[in-house]
Amino acid sequence: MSTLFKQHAPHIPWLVVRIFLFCFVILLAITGPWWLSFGLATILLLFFKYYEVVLGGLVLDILFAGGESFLDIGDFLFTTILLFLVSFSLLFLQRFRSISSL
Amino acid sequence: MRYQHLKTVRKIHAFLVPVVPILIAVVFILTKAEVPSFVTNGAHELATPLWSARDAVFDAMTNTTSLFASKKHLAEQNAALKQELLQKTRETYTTRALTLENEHLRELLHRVDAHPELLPAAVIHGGAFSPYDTFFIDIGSNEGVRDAMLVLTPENIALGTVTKTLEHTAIVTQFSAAGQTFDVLLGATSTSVHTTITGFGGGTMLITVPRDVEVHEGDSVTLPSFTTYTLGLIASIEVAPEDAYKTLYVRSPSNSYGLRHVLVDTTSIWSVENPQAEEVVEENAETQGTDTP
Repeated sequence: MSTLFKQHAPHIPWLVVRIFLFCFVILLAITGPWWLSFGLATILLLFFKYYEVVLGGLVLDILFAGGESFLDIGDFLFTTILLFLVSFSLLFLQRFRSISSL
Repeated sequence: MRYQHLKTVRKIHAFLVPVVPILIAVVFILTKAEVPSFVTNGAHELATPLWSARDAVFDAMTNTTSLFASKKHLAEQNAALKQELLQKTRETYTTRALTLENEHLRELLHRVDAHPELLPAAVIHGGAFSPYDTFFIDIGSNEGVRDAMLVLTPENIALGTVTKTLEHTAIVTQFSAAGQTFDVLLGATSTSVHTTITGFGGGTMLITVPRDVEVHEGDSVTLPSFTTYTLGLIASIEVAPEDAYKTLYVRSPSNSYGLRHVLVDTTSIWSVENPQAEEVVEENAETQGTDTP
Protein backbone atom coordinates (compact mmCIF):
# COMPACT_ATOMS: atom_id res chain seq x y z
CA MET A 1 0.00 0.00 0.00
CA SER A 2 2.75 2.34 0.97
CA THR A 3 4.47 1.84 -2.41
CA LEU A 4 1.54 3.57 -4.07
CA PHE A 5 2.57 6.84 -2.46
CA LYS A 6 6.28 6.40 -2.89
CA GLN A 7 8.06 9.20 -4.72
CA HIS A 8 10.05 7.93 -7.69
CA ALA A 9 12.54 10.78 -7.89
CA PRO A 10 15.80 9.89 -9.65
CA HIS A 11 18.54 9.35 -7.10
CA ILE A 12 22.19 8.35 -7.24
CA PRO A 13 23.16 5.47 -4.97
CA TRP A 14 25.29 6.67 -2.04
CA LEU A 15 27.95 4.08 -2.87
CA VAL A 16 28.53 5.65 -6.30
CA VAL A 17 28.92 9.07 -4.69
CA ARG A 18 31.29 7.60 -2.14
CA ILE A 19 33.43 5.92 -4.81
CA PHE A 20 33.41 9.10 -6.92
CA LEU A 21 34.53 11.26 -3.96
CA PHE A 22 37.24 8.78 -3.02
CA CYS A 23 38.60 8.76 -6.60
CA PHE A 24 38.39 12.57 -6.66
CA VAL A 25 40.46 12.88 -3.46
CA ILE A 26 43.09 10.46 -4.81
CA LEU A 27 43.26 12.27 -8.18
CA LEU A 28 43.48 15.61 -6.42
CA ALA A 29 46.30 14.31 -4.22
CA ILE A 30 48.25 13.32 -7.35
CA THR A 31 47.58 16.28 -9.63
CA GLY A 32 46.16 19.07 -7.52
CA PRO A 33 47.37 21.24 -4.66
CA TRP A 34 48.03 19.23 -1.50
CA TRP A 35 45.94 21.49 0.75
CA LEU A 36 42.84 20.96 -1.38
CA SER A 37 43.00 17.17 -1.29
CA PHE A 38 43.95 17.11 2.39
CA GLY A 39 41.19 19.57 3.29
CA LEU A 40 38.60 17.61 1.34
CA ALA A 41 39.78 14.36 2.92
CA THR A 42 39.46 15.90 6.40
CA ILE A 43 35.93 17.15 5.72
CA LEU A 44 34.82 13.84 4.22
CA LEU A 45 36.32 11.97 7.12
CA LEU A 46 34.96 14.06 9.95
CA PHE A 47 31.53 14.98 8.62
CA PHE A 48 30.63 12.02 6.41
CA LYS A 49 32.66 9.19 8.00
CA TYR A 50 34.39 8.34 4.70
CA TYR A 51 37.33 6.63 6.37
CA GLU A 52 38.81 5.34 3.11
CA VAL A 53 40.09 8.85 2.27
CA VAL A 54 43.02 8.10 4.59
CA LEU A 55 44.50 6.60 1.42
CA GLY A 56 44.60 10.15 0.00
CA GLY A 57 47.04 11.06 2.77
CA LEU A 58 49.04 7.93 2.00
CA VAL A 59 49.26 8.97 -1.65
CA LEU A 60 50.51 12.42 -0.62
CA ASP A 61 53.16 10.86 1.60
CA ILE A 62 54.31 8.32 -0.97
CA LEU A 63 54.57 10.90 -3.75
CA PHE A 64 56.01 13.90 -1.95
CA ALA A 65 57.86 12.84 1.17
CA GLY A 66 61.60 13.11 0.82
CA GLY A 67 64.00 13.56 3.68
CA GLU A 68 62.96 14.59 7.12
CA SER A 69 59.70 16.41 7.78
CA PHE A 70 59.65 19.32 10.20
CA LEU A 71 57.91 17.33 12.94
CA ASP A 72 60.60 14.65 12.70
CA ILE A 73 58.09 11.79 12.54
CA GLY A 74 59.19 10.18 9.30
CA ASP A 75 57.53 10.19 5.90
CA PHE A 76 53.94 9.38 6.88
CA LEU A 77 52.92 12.81 8.18
CA PHE A 78 49.57 13.13 6.40
CA THR A 79 48.60 9.49 6.91
CA THR A 80 49.30 9.88 10.62
CA ILE A 81 47.19 13.03 10.90
CA LEU A 82 44.28 11.39 9.06
CA LEU A 83 44.55 8.25 11.21
CA PHE A 84 44.33 10.39 14.33
CA LEU A 85 41.28 12.09 12.84
CA VAL A 86 39.69 8.67 12.24
CA SER A 87 40.14 7.79 15.90
CA PHE A 88 38.91 11.22 16.95
CA SER A 89 35.84 10.77 14.78
CA LEU A 90 35.15 7.28 16.14
CA LEU A 91 35.73 8.18 19.78
CA PHE A 92 34.21 11.63 20.17
CA LEU A 93 32.01 12.50 17.25
CA GLN A 94 29.99 9.29 17.68
CA ARG A 95 29.29 10.32 21.25
CA PHE A 96 28.26 13.80 20.20
CA ARG A 97 25.94 12.31 17.61
CA SER A 98 24.37 9.99 20.23
CA ILE A 99 23.95 12.91 22.65
CA SER A 100 22.34 15.05 19.96
CA SER A 101 19.95 12.27 19.04
CA LEU A 102 18.64 11.96 22.61
CA MET B 1 22.32 -13.97 29.06
CA ARG B 2 23.01 -13.94 25.36
CA TYR B 3 21.99 -10.31 25.21
CA GLN B 4 24.48 -9.45 27.98
CA HIS B 5 27.23 -11.21 26.07
CA LEU B 6 26.45 -9.26 22.91
CA LYS B 7 26.46 -6.04 24.90
CA THR B 8 29.94 -6.81 26.28
CA VAL B 9 31.25 -7.67 22.82
CA ARG B 10 29.85 -4.44 21.44
CA LYS B 11 31.51 -2.45 24.23
CA ILE B 12 34.89 -4.08 23.54
CA HIS B 13 34.39 -3.48 19.83
CA ALA B 14 33.55 0.18 20.41
CA PHE B 15 36.74 0.58 22.42
CA LEU B 16 39.08 -1.39 20.14
CA VAL B 17 38.08 0.00 16.75
CA PRO B 18 39.10 3.63 17.50
CA VAL B 19 42.34 2.46 19.10
CA VAL B 20 43.61 0.63 16.00
CA PRO B 21 44.20 3.80 13.85
CA ILE B 22 45.97 5.43 16.83
CA LEU B 23 48.21 2.38 17.18
CA ILE B 24 49.13 2.45 13.49
CA ALA B 25 49.86 6.19 13.71
CA VAL B 26 52.00 5.69 16.84
CA VAL B 27 53.98 2.95 15.06
CA PHE B 28 54.60 5.37 12.16
CA ILE B 29 55.76 8.08 14.57
CA LEU B 30 57.97 5.90 16.77
CA THR B 31 59.68 4.07 13.92
CA LYS B 32 59.96 7.29 11.85
CA ALA B 33 58.92 5.09 8.94
CA GLU B 34 60.18 6.06 5.52
CA VAL B 35 58.51 5.27 2.22
CA PRO B 36 60.65 2.68 0.38
CA SER B 37 62.28 3.98 -2.79
CA PHE B 38 60.68 1.36 -5.02
CA VAL B 39 57.20 2.41 -3.84
CA THR B 40 57.90 6.09 -4.60
CA ASN B 41 59.47 5.03 -7.89
CA GLY B 42 56.37 3.05 -8.88
CA ALA B 43 54.08 5.89 -7.78
CA HIS B 44 56.06 8.38 -9.87
CA GLU B 45 55.90 6.07 -12.89
CA LEU B 46 52.11 5.90 -12.52
CA ALA B 47 51.66 9.60 -11.82
CA THR B 48 53.89 10.98 -14.59
CA PRO B 49 51.26 10.51 -17.38
CA LEU B 50 48.70 12.26 -15.16
CA TRP B 51 51.02 15.23 -14.59
CA SER B 52 51.73 15.45 -18.33
CA ALA B 53 48.00 15.40 -19.06
CA ARG B 54 47.37 18.10 -16.44
CA ASP B 55 50.09 20.32 -17.91
CA ALA B 56 48.64 19.83 -21.40
CA VAL B 57 45.16 20.78 -20.18
CA PHE B 58 46.48 23.86 -18.35
CA ASP B 59 48.43 25.00 -21.44
CA ALA B 60 45.37 24.55 -23.67
CA MET B 61 43.22 26.50 -21.19
CA THR B 62 45.78 29.32 -20.98
CA ASN B 63 45.94 29.58 -24.76
CA THR B 64 42.15 29.64 -25.04
CA THR B 65 41.62 32.27 -22.35
CA SER B 66 44.33 34.51 -23.82
CA LEU B 67 42.21 34.80 -26.99
CA PHE B 68 39.57 36.66 -25.00
CA ALA B 69 41.94 39.18 -23.44
CA SER B 70 41.22 42.76 -24.40
CA LYS B 71 43.57 44.80 -26.63
CA LYS B 72 44.12 47.39 -23.91
CA HIS B 73 45.10 44.72 -21.42
CA LEU B 74 47.48 43.16 -23.94
CA ALA B 75 49.09 46.55 -24.68
CA GLU B 76 49.59 47.18 -20.96
CA GLN B 77 51.04 43.73 -20.50
CA ASN B 78 53.36 44.27 -23.48
CA ALA B 79 54.66 47.56 -22.04
CA ALA B 80 55.25 45.99 -18.63
CA LEU B 81 57.09 43.07 -20.16
CA LYS B 82 59.29 45.40 -22.22
CA GLN B 83 60.25 47.28 -19.07
CA GLU B 84 61.00 44.04 -17.29
CA LEU B 85 63.12 42.87 -20.22
CA LEU B 86 65.14 46.08 -20.17
CA GLN B 87 65.76 45.71 -16.46
CA LYS B 88 66.81 42.09 -16.88
CA THR B 89 69.16 43.02 -19.73
CA ARG B 90 70.86 45.59 -17.51
CA GLU B 91 71.19 43.00 -14.75
CA THR B 92 72.66 40.52 -17.22
CA TYR B 93 75.50 42.90 -18.07
CA THR B 94 76.44 43.12 -14.40
CA THR B 95 76.18 39.37 -13.94
CA ARG B 96 78.33 38.72 -17.01
CA ALA B 97 81.00 41.10 -15.75
CA LEU B 98 80.95 39.46 -12.33
CA THR B 99 81.16 35.97 -13.87
CA LEU B 100 84.22 36.98 -15.90
CA GLU B 101 85.82 38.50 -12.84
CA ASN B 102 85.03 35.35 -10.86
CA GLU B 103 86.64 33.14 -13.52
CA HIS B 104 89.69 35.38 -13.59
CA LEU B 105 90.02 35.16 -9.80
CA ARG B 106 89.68 31.38 -9.95
CA GLU B 107 92.47 31.20 -12.49
CA LEU B 108 94.65 33.29 -10.18
CA LEU B 109 93.91 30.90 -7.35
CA HIS B 110 94.52 27.83 -9.59
CA ARG B 111 90.98 26.68 -9.09
CA VAL B 112 90.01 26.41 -12.74
CA ASP B 113 88.73 22.89 -12.18
CA ALA B 114 86.01 24.24 -9.87
CA HIS B 115 83.64 24.66 -12.80
CA PRO B 116 80.48 22.87 -11.87
CA GLU B 117 79.05 20.14 -14.04
CA LEU B 118 75.42 20.95 -14.37
CA LEU B 119 72.75 18.51 -15.44
CA PRO B 120 69.65 20.17 -16.89
CA ALA B 121 66.36 18.79 -15.61
CA ALA B 122 62.69 19.57 -16.04
CA VAL B 123 60.43 20.07 -13.05
CA ILE B 124 57.59 17.62 -13.50
CA HIS B 125 55.59 18.29 -10.36
CA GLY B 126 55.87 20.38 -7.25
CA GLY B 127 55.88 23.99 -6.16
CA ALA B 128 52.44 24.90 -4.90
CA PHE B 129 51.26 21.31 -5.25
CA SER B 130 53.77 19.79 -2.85
CA PRO B 131 53.12 19.60 0.89
CA TYR B 132 56.72 19.10 1.98
CA ASP B 133 58.38 21.97 0.05
CA THR B 134 59.60 19.37 -2.39
CA PHE B 135 59.41 19.03 -6.17
CA PHE B 136 60.27 16.32 -8.66
CA ILE B 137 62.73 16.45 -11.53
CA ASP B 138 62.72 14.20 -14.54
CA ILE B 139 66.23 12.78 -14.10
CA GLY B 140 67.36 10.21 -11.57
CA SER B 141 70.14 7.82 -10.68
CA ASN B 142 70.29 6.49 -14.26
CA GLU B 143 71.25 9.98 -15.45
CA GLY B 144 73.89 10.51 -12.75
CA VAL B 145 71.90 12.20 -10.00
CA ARG B 146 72.83 11.27 -6.44
CA ASP B 147 71.45 12.19 -3.04
CA ALA B 148 72.45 15.58 -1.53
CA MET B 149 73.43 17.13 -4.87
CA LEU B 150 72.77 20.84 -5.09
CA VAL B 151 69.89 22.03 -7.30
CA LEU B 152 70.00 25.45 -8.94
CA THR B 153 67.77 27.59 -11.07
CA PRO B 154 69.00 28.46 -14.59
CA GLU B 155 70.11 31.81 -13.08
CA ASN B 156 72.40 29.96 -10.61
CA ILE B 157 70.23 30.56 -7.56
CA ALA B 158 70.48 27.69 -5.08
CA LEU B 159 67.09 26.08 -4.58
CA GLY B 160 67.62 22.93 -2.59
CA THR B 161 69.15 19.50 -2.51
CA VAL B 162 68.25 16.11 -3.90
CA THR B 163 66.84 14.13 -0.97
CA LYS B 164 65.59 11.00 -2.69
CA THR B 165 67.02 9.64 -5.91
CA LEU B 166 64.90 7.23 -7.88
CA GLU B 167 65.60 5.54 -11.23
CA HIS B 168 64.25 8.20 -13.60
CA THR B 169 63.06 10.85 -11.17
CA ALA B 170 64.38 12.54 -8.04
CA ILE B 171 62.78 14.42 -5.17
CA VAL B 172 64.32 17.80 -4.43
CA THR B 173 63.74 19.38 -1.02
CA GLN B 174 63.94 23.16 -1.04
CA PHE B 175 66.14 24.95 1.45
CA SER B 176 63.00 26.64 2.71
CA ALA B 177 61.47 23.34 3.87
CA ALA B 178 60.39 23.72 7.48
CA GLY B 179 62.98 22.67 10.04
CA GLN B 180 66.00 22.49 7.72
CA THR B 181 69.04 24.21 9.19
CA PHE B 182 72.32 24.98 7.43
CA ASP B 183 75.18 27.46 7.32
CA VAL B 184 75.07 30.52 5.07
CA LEU B 185 76.95 33.68 4.38
CA LEU B 186 75.00 36.85 5.07
CA GLY B 187 75.91 39.66 2.69
CA ALA B 188 78.30 38.91 -0.15
CA THR B 189 80.61 41.78 0.64
CA SER B 190 83.78 42.18 2.69
CA THR B 191 81.63 42.48 5.82
CA SER B 192 79.86 39.19 5.31
CA VAL B 193 78.78 37.19 8.36
CA HIS B 194 78.68 33.42 8.77
CA THR B 195 75.38 32.41 10.29
CA THR B 196 72.76 29.68 10.38
CA ILE B 197 69.52 29.76 8.46
CA THR B 198 66.37 27.79 9.21
CA GLY B 199 63.67 26.83 6.75
CA PHE B 200 60.25 28.20 7.63
CA GLY B 201 58.19 26.57 4.88
CA GLY B 202 56.39 28.16 1.95
CA GLY B 203 59.59 29.55 0.40
CA THR B 204 60.63 31.53 3.48
CA MET B 205 63.74 31.11 5.62
CA LEU B 206 64.72 32.71 8.93
CA ILE B 207 68.03 34.01 10.25
CA THR B 208 68.53 35.21 13.81
CA VAL B 209 71.50 37.53 14.31
CA PRO B 210 72.56 39.92 17.07
CA ARG B 211 70.84 43.26 16.60
CA ASP B 212 74.19 45.02 16.17
CA VAL B 213 74.92 43.23 12.91
CA GLU B 214 74.30 45.69 10.12
CA VAL B 215 71.99 44.25 7.50
CA HIS B 216 69.47 45.82 5.16
CA GLU B 217 66.47 44.62 3.24
CA GLY B 218 67.60 43.34 -0.14
CA ASP B 219 70.99 42.07 1.10
CA SER B 220 71.92 38.73 -0.38
CA VAL B 221 72.38 35.43 1.42
CA THR B 222 74.80 32.98 -0.19
CA LEU B 223 75.98 29.45 0.39
CA PRO B 224 79.47 29.36 1.89
CA SER B 225 81.23 27.48 -0.90
CA PHE B 226 83.93 28.40 -3.38
CA THR B 227 81.36 28.58 -6.14
CA THR B 228 79.15 31.35 -4.84
CA TYR B 229 75.49 30.54 -5.19
CA THR B 230 72.88 33.01 -4.04
CA LEU B 231 70.26 31.50 -1.78
CA GLY B 232 67.95 34.44 -1.34
CA LEU B 233 67.47 38.05 -0.41
CA ILE B 234 66.44 39.54 2.91
CA ALA B 235 62.77 40.33 2.46
CA SER B 236 62.12 41.91 5.86
CA ILE B 237 63.76 42.50 9.22
CA GLU B 238 61.95 42.12 12.51
CA VAL B 239 63.43 43.49 15.70
CA ALA B 240 61.74 43.98 19.04
CA PRO B 241 63.02 46.88 21.21
CA GLU B 242 63.65 44.59 24.21
CA ASP B 243 65.29 41.81 22.19
CA ALA B 244 69.04 41.37 21.78
CA TYR B 245 68.54 39.60 18.47
CA LYS B 246 66.77 40.41 15.26
CA THR B 247 65.02 38.08 12.88
CA LEU B 248 65.66 38.28 9.16
CA TYR B 249 63.14 36.81 6.74
CA VAL B 250 64.82 35.51 3.61
CA ARG B 251 63.06 34.72 0.35
CA SER B 252 64.46 33.23 -2.84
CA PRO B 253 64.55 35.68 -5.77
CA SER B 254 63.27 32.94 -8.07
CA ASN B 255 59.67 31.87 -8.10
CA SER B 256 59.84 28.19 -7.31
CA TYR B 257 56.13 27.76 -8.01
CA GLY B 258 56.48 28.63 -11.67
CA LEU B 259 59.78 26.84 -12.14
CA ARG B 260 59.98 24.60 -15.21
CA HIS B 261 63.69 23.84 -15.53
CA VAL B 262 66.50 23.46 -12.99
CA LEU B 263 70.16 22.48 -12.98
CA VAL B 264 71.70 19.77 -10.82
CA ASP B 265 75.26 20.52 -9.75
CA THR B 266 76.92 17.09 -9.83
CA THR B 267 80.15 18.36 -8.29
CA SER B 268 78.71 19.62 -5.05
CA ILE B 269 77.25 17.52 -2.29
CA TRP B 270 75.35 19.66 0.15
CA SER B 271 74.11 18.45 3.47
CA VAL B 272 71.80 20.27 5.81
CA GLU B 273 72.21 19.75 9.54
CA ASN B 274 70.56 16.41 9.62
CA PRO B 275 72.67 13.50 10.88
CA GLN B 276 70.32 10.90 9.45
CA ALA B 277 70.51 12.42 5.96
CA GLU B 278 74.30 12.36 6.08
CA GLU B 279 74.24 8.71 7.07
CA VAL B 280 71.92 7.93 4.18
CA VAL B 281 74.24 9.73 1.77
CA GLU B 282 77.19 7.73 3.05
CA GLU B 283 75.24 4.48 2.76
CA ASN B 284 74.15 5.34 -0.77
CA ALA B 285 77.69 6.22 -1.78
CA GLU B 286 78.88 2.87 -0.43
CA THR B 287 76.16 0.84 -2.09
CA GLN B 288 76.27 2.63 -5.43
CA GLY B 289 80.06 2.74 -5.46
CA THR B 290 80.20 6.29 -6.73
CA ASP B 291 82.91 8.83 -6.18
CA THR B 292 81.23 11.80 -4.59
CA PRO B 293 83.38 14.88 -5.01
